[in-house]
Amino acid sequence: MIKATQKPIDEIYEMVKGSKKVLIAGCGTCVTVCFAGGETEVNLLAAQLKMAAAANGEQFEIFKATPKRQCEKEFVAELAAKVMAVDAVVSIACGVGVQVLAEVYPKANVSPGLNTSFMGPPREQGFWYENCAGCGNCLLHHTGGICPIARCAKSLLNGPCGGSNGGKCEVSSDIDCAWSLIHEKLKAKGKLEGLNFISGPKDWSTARDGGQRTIVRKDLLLKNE
Amino acid sequence: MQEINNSSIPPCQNACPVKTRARDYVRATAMGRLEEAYKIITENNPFPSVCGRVCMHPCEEACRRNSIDEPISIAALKRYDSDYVNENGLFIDTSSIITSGKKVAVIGAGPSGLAAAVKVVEAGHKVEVFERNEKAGGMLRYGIPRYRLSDAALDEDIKRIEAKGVKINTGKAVGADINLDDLLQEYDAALVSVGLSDSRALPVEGMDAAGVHLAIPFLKSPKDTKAGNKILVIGGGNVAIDVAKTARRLNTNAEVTMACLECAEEMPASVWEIKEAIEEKIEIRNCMGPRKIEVKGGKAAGMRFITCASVFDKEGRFNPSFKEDEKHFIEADTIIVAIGQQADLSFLPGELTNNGRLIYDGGSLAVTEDGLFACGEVAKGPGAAIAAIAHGNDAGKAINQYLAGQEINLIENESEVIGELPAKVVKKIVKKERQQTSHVAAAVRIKNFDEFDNGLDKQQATKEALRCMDCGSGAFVNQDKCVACLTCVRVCPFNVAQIDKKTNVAEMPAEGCQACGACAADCPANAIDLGGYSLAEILEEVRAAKAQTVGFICQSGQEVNFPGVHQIRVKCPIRLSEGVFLESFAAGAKKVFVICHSQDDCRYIKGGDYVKRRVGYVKEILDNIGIGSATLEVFDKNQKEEIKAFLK
Amino acid sequence: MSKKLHSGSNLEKILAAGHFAVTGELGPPKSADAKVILDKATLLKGEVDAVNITDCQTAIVRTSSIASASLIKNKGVEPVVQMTCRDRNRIAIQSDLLGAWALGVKNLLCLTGDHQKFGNHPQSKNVFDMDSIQMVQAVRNMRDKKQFINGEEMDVAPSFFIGAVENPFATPFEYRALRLMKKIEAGADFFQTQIVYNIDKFKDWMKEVRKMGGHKKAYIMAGVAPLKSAGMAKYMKKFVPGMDVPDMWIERMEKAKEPKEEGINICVDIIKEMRKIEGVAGVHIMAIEWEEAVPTIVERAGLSPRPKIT
Repeated sequence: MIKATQKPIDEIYEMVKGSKKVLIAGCGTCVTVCFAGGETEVNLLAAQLKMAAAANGEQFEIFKATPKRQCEKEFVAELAAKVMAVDAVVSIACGVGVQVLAEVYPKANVSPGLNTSFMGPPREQGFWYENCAGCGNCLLHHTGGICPIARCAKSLLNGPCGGSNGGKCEVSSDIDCAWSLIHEKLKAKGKLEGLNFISGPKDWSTARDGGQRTIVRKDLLLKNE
Repeated sequence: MQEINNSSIPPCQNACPVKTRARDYVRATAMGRLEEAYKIITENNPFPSVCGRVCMHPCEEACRRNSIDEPISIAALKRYDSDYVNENGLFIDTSSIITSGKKVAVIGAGPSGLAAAVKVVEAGHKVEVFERNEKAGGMLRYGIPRYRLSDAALDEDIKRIEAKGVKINTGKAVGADINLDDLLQEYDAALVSVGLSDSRALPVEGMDAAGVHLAIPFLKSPKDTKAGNKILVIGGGNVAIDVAKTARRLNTNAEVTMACLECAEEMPASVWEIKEAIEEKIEIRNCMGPRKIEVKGGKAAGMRFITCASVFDKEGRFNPSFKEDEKHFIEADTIIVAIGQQADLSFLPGELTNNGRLIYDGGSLAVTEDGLFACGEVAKGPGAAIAAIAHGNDAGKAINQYLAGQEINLIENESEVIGELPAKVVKKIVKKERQQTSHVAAAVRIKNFDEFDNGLDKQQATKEALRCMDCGSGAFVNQDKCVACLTCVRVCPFNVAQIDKKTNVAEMPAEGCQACGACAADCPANAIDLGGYSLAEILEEVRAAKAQTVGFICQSGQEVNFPGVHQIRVKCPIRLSEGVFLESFAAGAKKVFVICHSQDDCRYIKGGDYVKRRVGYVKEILDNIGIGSATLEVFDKNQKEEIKAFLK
Repeated sequence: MSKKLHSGSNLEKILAAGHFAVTGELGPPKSADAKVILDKATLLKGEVDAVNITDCQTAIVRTSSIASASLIKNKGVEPVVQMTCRDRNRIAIQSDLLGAWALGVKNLLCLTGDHQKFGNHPQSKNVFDMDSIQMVQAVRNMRDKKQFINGEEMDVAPSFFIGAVENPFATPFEYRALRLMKKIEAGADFFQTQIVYNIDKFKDWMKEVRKMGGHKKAYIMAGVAPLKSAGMAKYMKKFVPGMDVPDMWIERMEKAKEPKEEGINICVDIIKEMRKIEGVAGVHIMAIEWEEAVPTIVERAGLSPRPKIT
C-alpha cells in the first residue's frame, strides 16, 4: 500500500497559521493502515494543532472528516459542507488524495499534512519498507520475487555492485542489498544460472521517466461516444 | 454506562432465574459505582439483601471463570452492594405513582408475592398484600434461619418494597379473617402466593410421639422447641440443614445427626451448606431409609432405618429402593422431620384444587378466567428463593397485561448464550485468587443466631469484582470503518481478534474477548470500542475534565489516592490510547500521568508494555509542540517517591 | 594469449606481449586548473604503462575524466578513462564515448559508480540508466558491431580496450568470480580489482577465477594502494564501501617510525605477492593524492623500467 508519514507539526502549523477554521481530512484506507492519516490520526493532529495554536496565542475551530478513500471524487464530494465552512483544509491523505480534494474544491486552501513516500508492506507491526517503484514493467519473475528497481539504491539489473557488503547496501547498513537477497533466493531455489544472463538496459519509458502514466479500460468507461 | 452491543448474554445472566445482569453489576462494583450496581441488581429483584445472603447462586456455577480458577463471588458482591445502600439509607424510593384506578390483592407476603406486587405497583396499579403471619417475608422470615438472613437485612428490602407503594397488611389471613369471595369482588385481580407452608410428615409409626417435630413449625419459632441431647433430623435438603444447624444452636453440646435417603453425592443440599454443617459438628448419615420411630413412654427414643439402595429409578423419577436386611438404629430424643413441604389451600374453593395441588395455567399463571392468578411454590412446587422471585415477576407481568386488556404472553425471546472460553485463550488468562469472605469460627457461631458470614470488605469486593472477564461486553467493530489493517490481530494479548472470513473485517468473538481494550486503543481507524469500559466515554470525561493534572489510575491499585488531581480510574491502563493522553493536554491539563498496577502482575499481560510505548510516542509529540515530554509520565504503583516528585 | 589488438593502446600491447603491466591513477582536481592535472601526469610519465583518470570518484565533483584524459594524452601519457553509470544516461554515455575516441582515448574502464550519498552533492538525482555490465556490453557492441544501443549503425566506431572492475572482497563472495565471468561475456578485455590488502582472500578469489578460465579470457590486474598513515587505513576499513583492510597492516602502520615509508613498503610487499599468483597480469597502483610515491613503488617492486613496445 501507499505509505506516508506526518509532516512535522510546525510545518503544518505554518500552512494554516492565521486561519480561523480548519478542516482536517483523513482517509480511511492506505494511510489508516500505516497510521499516518486515519480517523485516529485526524484526532491526534487536531489535538496537536489546538495546542500549537494555543502556544501561539491563536485558536482554531477544528473540523474533522475521514472519508473512506480521499482518491474518489464521490467520497470527497461528501465533505462539501465542511470544506465550505472552513478557511483552510489540511489533508492527511496521501498525495493522491490531497490532489483529488484540491481538484474537487478548487477554491479551497488545501495543504498536505503528510509526506507520501513509497509503496511497500510492513515487515512487522510498526515497520514498513519500500519494495515497489511502479516502474510499469515488472520483472519480478527474473529476480526471485525481489525487486531491484525499488530495493537497489542504483536500480541495477546486473547487480550486486562492489559496494555490497555483508548483505547490506553501501548506502546504509540498515538496508539489505537487494541483489544479495536475490542471489540468496535464486540459490535456494536452485536457479542461480538465471544470474548469468545479462540483462540489457531497462526500458524506463513505462516508469515515471516517461511522463505521467494512465491506465484506460475501454470496457469500463461509462460514457458513450 | 454504554449499552452493550452484543446480543449474546453471558452464562451468569442466563443461569439466573430472573436474568439478573450479573456481569454489569459486578463491573459497576469493580469501578466503585455501587449505586449503579444496586440499580442493576434491583431491575428484576426487590430482594438484594436477601439474595446476597441466601441465594444458591446458579450464576456462580455457570460463571466462565470456572475454567480458569474460580467463579466470581457474584452473590457476595450483591450483599456488599446492598449493605452499602442499606447503611446509607439510599434508594428508599417513594416515587411510584398509582394512577390506573385498578387495584390488585396479593395473598401471601413471601418472595414471589412481593416480587409480583412490585411489578404491579410500578405499572401504576394499587396493590394490597394480605399476610396471615405477624411479619412479611414468608419463608424468608419464617423458614430461613436468622444466622443466614437477619431480620434487619430482610426488613431493609421490605422497607423499600413498601416505600414504592405496596401496602402490606400483616396478621390478616384470607379465609379466616377475610372472605375470599369479597376479595375477588373488590379487587380487579388477585394473586395466590401462599407458598408451601406445611411440612410433610413421614408415613411411619410414631410421628405423634413427644419430641417429634416438623421442620416448618420448628424453624418458625425454634426457641419454643425443647431440644434434647440427641437430635435427629430426617432429610437431605437445605431445609434439613437449616433445621440441623438451628438445633445445634439450641443445644451446643447435643449430638446432632442428619439422616437422608440420598448418598453423599446426591444430597440436594448445597455443597457449602453441608460443609458448614459438618464444621458445626453435625453428623450426616447417608443412604438411610426411615422405617419406624421407636417410642418409649410416649416419648421419642430413636428411629429405625434400612439402607436405601437408590433414590431415583432409571427414568429419573423419585422411586427409592431399599435393602430390607441392612438395618440401622439411631438413638434420639428429638426428631425433626424435614422431608418436604406442601400447600395449605384450605381457603380456596375445592374446584380450584386437585389432590392438594392448585390447578393453574402454567403459561399464563391464571387460575380463573376473571383475574385470579398464582405464583411461587404454591403453583410451581418447591424451589429456591430466586426462582420464586422470578415466578413473581412473571405473575406481575401477567396481571399487568390482564389489567390492560391484553392477551397474556409471558414468552421471552431466548437469547443466545456466550459459549465456552476457547482453550488457547484459557491458557493465557492470568489466574487471580478468589476473595473469600470470612466466617465466624464454628465453635463461636453456634452460640447464637447472629449472621456468621462477615461478607466482603471494600478492598476484597473490588479485587473480586475486577476478576470478572466482562463476558460479552468486550470489543466490537464498526465494520464500515475497519480496513482489516491487522493491528488488533497483532496487539491482542489473548490472540482473540481475527479477520472474519465472511465480512473481511476484524471481529473479536465474544467467547474469547477479555474486554481489555488494547485493540480499541491502537486501532488507526477508530473502529473499535468496548461494550463496557468504553474508550469514547473516557475521552468524553477527559475533554470535560478541565483540570490542571489528570491521572489515569489502574483500579487494581485502587488504594492510591491523590487530592487535587482529576483521577480517572480504569480497569487497566492498557485501554488508554495515545489520543486520550494528547487530548488531556489539549483540554488544558498541564500534567498527565498513568499509574499501572504492577507491571509483572497485569491481568491483561501487556498492560505495562503497551502503556509505555504509547506514552513514549505522545512524549515525542509533546516535545515537538514545545510543551515538553516531562509533563507526561507512567508509573508503577510502587514508585511512590517518583510519583510524589512528579506531582510537586 | 595472442589476440588481435582492439585499440592498439600501450597498455593493451604490454599485456598482449605477456609483460606484467603496471597502471597508475590520477585524480582530477576540484577546480578548473589544468596545471594540476598536467603536473600529476608529469610525475607518472614513463613510470607506468597507462594512467587511470577517475570519474567524480566517490561522487565528488572534479574535472571530467575525458577532458583530463585529453590533456595528459597531449603530454605523452596514455590515459585510461573511467566512466560511471551514476551521472549519465545512455545517451550521454554513448555521446561521451564517441567524443573520447575522437580525442584519442583508447582505454576505457566501466564502473557502476559510488552512490551519490557519499559525495559532496548528496541531493542530486542518481541516473543509473544502465549498470556497469550493460555499459561494457554497449561499448563492445559499438566496437565490434559498430552499433549504438538501439541497433543503429555508425560509420566510424570507437574501438576501445574495454576494462571493468571487480571487488573480490564484496559479498556474496561466492558470486564475485561469476560476476567477473559475466563481465567477460559482456565484453570486458581487462580488469582492475578493488584494492588488495587481504592477500589470502584475493588468492581464494583468483582460484575461483582460474577454475572458470577467466584469467585466460581477460587480463586481471590487482589493485594496490600505499597507506599514508594508520588513520588512513582505519578510515578505509570503516568508511569506504567494499574495502577489506586486515588489522596486520594497521598494526604495522601504527608501529612504524616513518609511516609513509612503511606504507610504500607494504605496497611493495603486496605487489610482490601479486606477481606470484597465477592469472594476475599486472597491478593497478592507486596512490591517491600521492602520485609521487608511484615511481618508488614501481622501482622497489622490481618493475622498473617499463617495457617499451612499438
